[in-house]
Amino acid sequence: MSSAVYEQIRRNRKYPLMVARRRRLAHSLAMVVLGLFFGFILVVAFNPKLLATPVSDGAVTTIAIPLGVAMIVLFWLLTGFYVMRAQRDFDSIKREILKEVTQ
Amino acid sequence: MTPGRILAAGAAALGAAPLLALAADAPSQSMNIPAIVMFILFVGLTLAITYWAAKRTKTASDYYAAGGGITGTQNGLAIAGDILSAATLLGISSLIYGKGYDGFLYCLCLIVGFPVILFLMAERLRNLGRYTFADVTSFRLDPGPVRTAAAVSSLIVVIMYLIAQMVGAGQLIKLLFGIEYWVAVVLVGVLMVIYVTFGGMIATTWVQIIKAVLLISGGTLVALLAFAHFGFSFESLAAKASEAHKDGVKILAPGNLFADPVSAVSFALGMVFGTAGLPHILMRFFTVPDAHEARKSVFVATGCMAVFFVMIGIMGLAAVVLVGSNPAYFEGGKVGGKLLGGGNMPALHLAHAVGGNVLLGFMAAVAFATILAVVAGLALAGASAVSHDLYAGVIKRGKVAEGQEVKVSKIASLALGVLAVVLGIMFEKHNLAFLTGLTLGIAAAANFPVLMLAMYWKGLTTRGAVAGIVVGLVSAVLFVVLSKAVWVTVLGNANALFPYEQPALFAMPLAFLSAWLFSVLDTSPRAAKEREAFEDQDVRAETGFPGQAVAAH
Repeated sequence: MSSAVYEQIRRNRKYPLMVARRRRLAHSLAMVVLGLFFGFILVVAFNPKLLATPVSDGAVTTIAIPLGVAMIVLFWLLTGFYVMRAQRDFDSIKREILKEVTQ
Repeated sequence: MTPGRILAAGAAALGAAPLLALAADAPSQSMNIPAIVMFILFVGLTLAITYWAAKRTKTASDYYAAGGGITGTQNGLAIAGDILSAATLLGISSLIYGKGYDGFLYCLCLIVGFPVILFLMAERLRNLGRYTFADVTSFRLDPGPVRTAAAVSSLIVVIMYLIAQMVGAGQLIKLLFGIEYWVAVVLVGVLMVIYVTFGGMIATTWVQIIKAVLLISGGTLVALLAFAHFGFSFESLAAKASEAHKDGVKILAPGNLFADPVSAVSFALGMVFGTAGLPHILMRFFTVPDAHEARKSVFVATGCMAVFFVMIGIMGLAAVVLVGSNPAYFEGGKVGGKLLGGGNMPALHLAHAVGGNVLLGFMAAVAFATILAVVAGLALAGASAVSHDLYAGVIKRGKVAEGQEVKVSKIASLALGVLAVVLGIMFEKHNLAFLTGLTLGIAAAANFPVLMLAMYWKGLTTRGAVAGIVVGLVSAVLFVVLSKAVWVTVLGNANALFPYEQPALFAMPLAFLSAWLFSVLDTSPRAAKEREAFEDQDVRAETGFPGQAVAAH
């Protein structure tokens, strides 16, 4: 029974649209996060001296500290952004599709 | 070194000096009354919750997944609680105290797994699984072999994680409360089994939520009180810390935590994808009613961790100044010598330095609570692998009454409790430094790759899935056994056969490769059916249709 419904969902013209949009968003966000993080880790692994640069002349705080904190905060904000976008853009389309095919 | 390793290794080296002998103003005091009072309050409250939860646990869904009735916010707190263990609180703050910025790198690695889980896994897990992540892996595959392989790797991860927690717990509690090591281990084991057996996922989740709130608020309080000593100026904190530390300004930038760049990258991979393959974390996505709440829980969890990690950075640096230059916190009053109570103590000494005995007692009780909550989550994940995957899924082929399955799960959690206590006592004196690296390595190599392929790759077949899990598991174990931490340190050989410290960079590609290879070579009719079934699975993964009934608590 559900197989027939799945077939109908697949045929609904909104479905591929929703899937494509969600994938684009999720995959690009994942790329951003993993790219920034592993980029940072590569710098830590191969050239840690670079991160020992002070934030300003005479300061002891290095750029590694604001960069690390900024990444943590950014990753959190990106999760919030995804939650918001998914609820606004995808959940409503999904409900429409399900409504259309289960009527 | 990962946080668990730090706790296990650091704690293993400790003497038994009861913590409160350190209170400079009351040197004769051997027990911290506030700590004991607060600990008893916590245990009392959690037992009351377990009683309440037991009355609400009627079906298998209640038992394994809290009936799907946990909200996103609650689940987010519980997930944060699973990650923020005693090893995170004590181990990372002591690592920052000792090595500065390198300790903070752990925090960064620990948090990155969660955006990845959100973008790639959370919704699909919720839409495809019921109680364990093996539900998702075996969704369109032959449940017999796939569930068996997934359950075995889950169990290995859970048991090793449990051993590390138990040994750390025994040593910490012995230290904080002045009771015998084995008594502490038995106490942790008994409470864990009570929470899990009687209260199932409902009790386990609420214990974790309460502890997460206590830990995050306690950590924030200590950090802010300490930060106030520096006029809330980070530059002033950093300047004073680098003056006080033997390594000077070097502590404010990444140093030489890893022997080589390859180990560093492998470690980061293991931390990120290992977190995304931990059975007790993945299981939490089945406790929420729908994909929206699943997503929200990652947002809340990441936010909690972000706050806590910033606080722990401040705590570690502040401890360099406030603990590291105060003779009262060193054995024999020798600044720069051995810390009273051992290497894991900076966070607790700092609590004492900024808030006296009451805050110290509070943080000690929170550390104990943290251990209890984390082991309970682990035990439930392990018991579910036995009862839901092995017993109901494989042995009974899905034909079993719910009550019987839950009964098996309760017996399994009791058995896991006994096993954890026995192994915890057996390994008291052993160097377990390799355990957390191994645990995350296996989670990253045996659980994560096949789970991802099962959700995203049409071509995955039963043979491929089993091959991927087995190769990931075996290669992660082999690489760790042949590495310095086991081959040289534990087994006493002269040279390591595997030159790097972490397995993930090598074991993960091997797992992906063998899953792919054995899938494409699989031309059986079963494989054809499995590939065909992907399309329906994919629609369900995207839409969550048909939904499941949800319980309200």
